[in-house]
Amino acid sequence: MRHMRYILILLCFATVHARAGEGRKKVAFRIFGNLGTWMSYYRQQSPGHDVKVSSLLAPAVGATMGLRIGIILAEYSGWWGFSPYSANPKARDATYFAPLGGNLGLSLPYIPIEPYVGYEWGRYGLSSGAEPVYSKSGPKFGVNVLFPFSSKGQFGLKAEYRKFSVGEDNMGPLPSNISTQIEVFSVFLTIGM
Amino acid sequence: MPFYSNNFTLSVILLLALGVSGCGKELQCAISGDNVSGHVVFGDYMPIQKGSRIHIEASTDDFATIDGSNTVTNVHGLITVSYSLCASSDKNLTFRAFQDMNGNDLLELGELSGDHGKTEIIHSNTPTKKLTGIDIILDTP
Repeated sequence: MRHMRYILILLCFATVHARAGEGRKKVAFRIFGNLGTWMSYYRQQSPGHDVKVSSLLAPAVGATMGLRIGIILAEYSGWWGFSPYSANPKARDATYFAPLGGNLGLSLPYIPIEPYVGYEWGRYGLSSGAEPVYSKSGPKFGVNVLFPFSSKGQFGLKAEYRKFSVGEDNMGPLPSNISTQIEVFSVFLTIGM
Repeated sequence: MPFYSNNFTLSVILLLALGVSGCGKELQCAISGDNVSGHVVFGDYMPIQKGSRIHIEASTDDFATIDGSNTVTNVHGLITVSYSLCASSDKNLTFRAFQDMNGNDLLELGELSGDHGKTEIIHSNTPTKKLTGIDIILDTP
């Protein structure tokens, strides 16, 4: 615990006095629009059964907004993933994914890569008879790769991954002997400042 | 009295009659949504047919007649599929489900089936007037 305190003090010192790039402010407001695609894996397991459903690529749109303080990023994020195309029109696989949450990451000067971790709450819909909807919160991991195109503007790619176990859907708790897990990948083109 | 007034009064009386008759549960479910919900679960090692129809039924007389029913399609061959249906309130209800292989909504020999295991009552005097967690395990080949 004592070492953690020193690490936190060092981190605070670094964020305030981080060496800025040319024209890079120590504190900057950030807002980005995101347009891209997502895909998901849904899996159920029980004795004698192992079922996997993969959702094909589908469009997604979202936004992030927050602050960069020194080298630290702190942002809110949200996006909506739409239903993917399926070869069978009646089997639309994942019907939507709608997470909201926050990110904490690193933005180092001169380096275009920004890794971050986040925590979000999301609703995930699956096409299967009565179309269950799952609500779950949990961690996610992501990375931005950004390049400037003006004195303030940046564009690039954002990639994220989250995995969560679910114990209930919109019709109530799932049977306890069934393990249900959902993984969601997303990749966005991102543009903002 | 004017013609339209007589018909308006008659319409109100008919609506009230529907509300207290056997059609009342359909009207209530049309307004508030289905009043029974849960999951159909395939038992351990029971065969799951991808794309099969799962038929769920509620009865007040041990399935001599069907009080309410619904059919869901197990599109992806999942182990558990959620469902909802509309059933009568303030009556002892039993629930069963089966994998309907020939699509005739009838439980026949060789079709995997199961029941909820106990009777339930939808109490009309409760705030939600709904039954949740009515899970049915398909474990009878």
